[in-house]
Amino acid sequence: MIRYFLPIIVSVVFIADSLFVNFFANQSWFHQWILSPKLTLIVLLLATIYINPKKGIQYAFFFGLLYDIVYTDLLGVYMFGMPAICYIVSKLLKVLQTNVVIITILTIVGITLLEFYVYEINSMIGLTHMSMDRFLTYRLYPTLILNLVFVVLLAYPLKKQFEKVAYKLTD
Amino acid sequence: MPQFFFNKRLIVLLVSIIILVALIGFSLNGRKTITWPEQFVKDTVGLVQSTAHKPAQYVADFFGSIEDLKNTYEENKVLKKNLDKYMQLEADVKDLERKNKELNERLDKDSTLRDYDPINATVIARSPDRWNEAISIDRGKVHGVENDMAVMTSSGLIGRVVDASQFTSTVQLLSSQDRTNRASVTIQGSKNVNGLISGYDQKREALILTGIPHSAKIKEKQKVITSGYSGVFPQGRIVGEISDIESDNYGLTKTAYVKPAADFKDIQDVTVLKRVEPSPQKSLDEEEEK
Repeated sequence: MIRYFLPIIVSVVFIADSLFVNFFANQSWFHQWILSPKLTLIVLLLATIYINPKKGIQYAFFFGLLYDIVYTDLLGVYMFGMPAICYIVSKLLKVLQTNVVIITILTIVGITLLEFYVYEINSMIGLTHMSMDRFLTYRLYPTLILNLVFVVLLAYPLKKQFEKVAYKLTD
Repeated sequence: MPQFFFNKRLIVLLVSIIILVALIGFSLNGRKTITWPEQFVKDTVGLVQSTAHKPAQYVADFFGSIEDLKNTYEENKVLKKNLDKYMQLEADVKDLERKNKELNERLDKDSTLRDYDPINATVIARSPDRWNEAISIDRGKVHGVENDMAVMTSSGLIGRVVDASQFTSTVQLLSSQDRTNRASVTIQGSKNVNGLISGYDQKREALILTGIPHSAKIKEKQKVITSGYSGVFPQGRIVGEISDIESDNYGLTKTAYVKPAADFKDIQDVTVLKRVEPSPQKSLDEEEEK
């Protein structure tokens, strides 16, 4: 059962991302903030860290492609971005220790990188005309705070499960 | 130099970037329909999404009802005020509709730009990346949805279908920043004025309506409806009302800001409008085929 834990959990959060936007991030009390949940990326980064980088990057590629097809209609952006960020984080991990604080910061850095990367691509091809100033205040900071909450909530339970998966894989 | 080319990582990176650019180019290259593998993936994921969406909807509805209870008193006051006018309005509309039908019959016209078949649909997903404001609905080609059809909620126009798969379709909202996001509209007044919705101002939370002649007499609070002149949108569906008017840089045309009638943020049930009268482009295409 534990063998299938990773594909199941990534699929669940993949759907949960859109449910969250549909029901929660649109509420009027968030007003003009643009909250973008990055649950899929968070789980993929945690998988990269706790299971192994190869597995994380493979899943990131597959779910990045799925993300492009299902959500954005712009092929290639997440398919390339998600594995690249998993790769960068796995390299950073080699020079850093793996305690909870470092992991949380690394995940947030990963999300920031993805946001900037997608913002740059979208401005380049003219899909958005948001100014950098507006992007930072209304989009990036609220999104980071939201995702920080997700990381704090998810990191510990997922760590335990992923370590079990990693143990099973080494058998 | 040879050292440079044997670096495996560098080659992987370069190849990835080439593939990335090629894929973006492919998806932006004005393609009208998405490829069948994409449709297949969308339909499959859509099936899972609609299953997951239903229980979530119940939970959201429950909390929504609690929220509604708080405002009931205020709302009731306003509604009572409107109700008095409503009876007269309904009688007027019935009368006008009947008259209109009679006149059309006399002219031997069996369908106008106004007529449409509604296709009811439920939202099953919303793009979590929030760059392109798009929603997925649970009706597709099988149910008669086609590309470019207008999509409404009960309160007003929200967007158009950009990708119709077999069982699901993607709707681009009017609040999207994409430059292909256009709609031809009419400003209702003593004399109708035509214009083009050509974008969304995020700061004002209003649609940008351009191409209004400088001499046109328009004022705030005027209603904006679809004109039916472009593509496959039916005529006379409400878009919103004018909230602000500005002259453009050269003083040749005016730009109006339209406060949308529909709430783009909270969308759960929508209607796809299938116009009865075929679009001129389509009839041309069909004639060419003959």
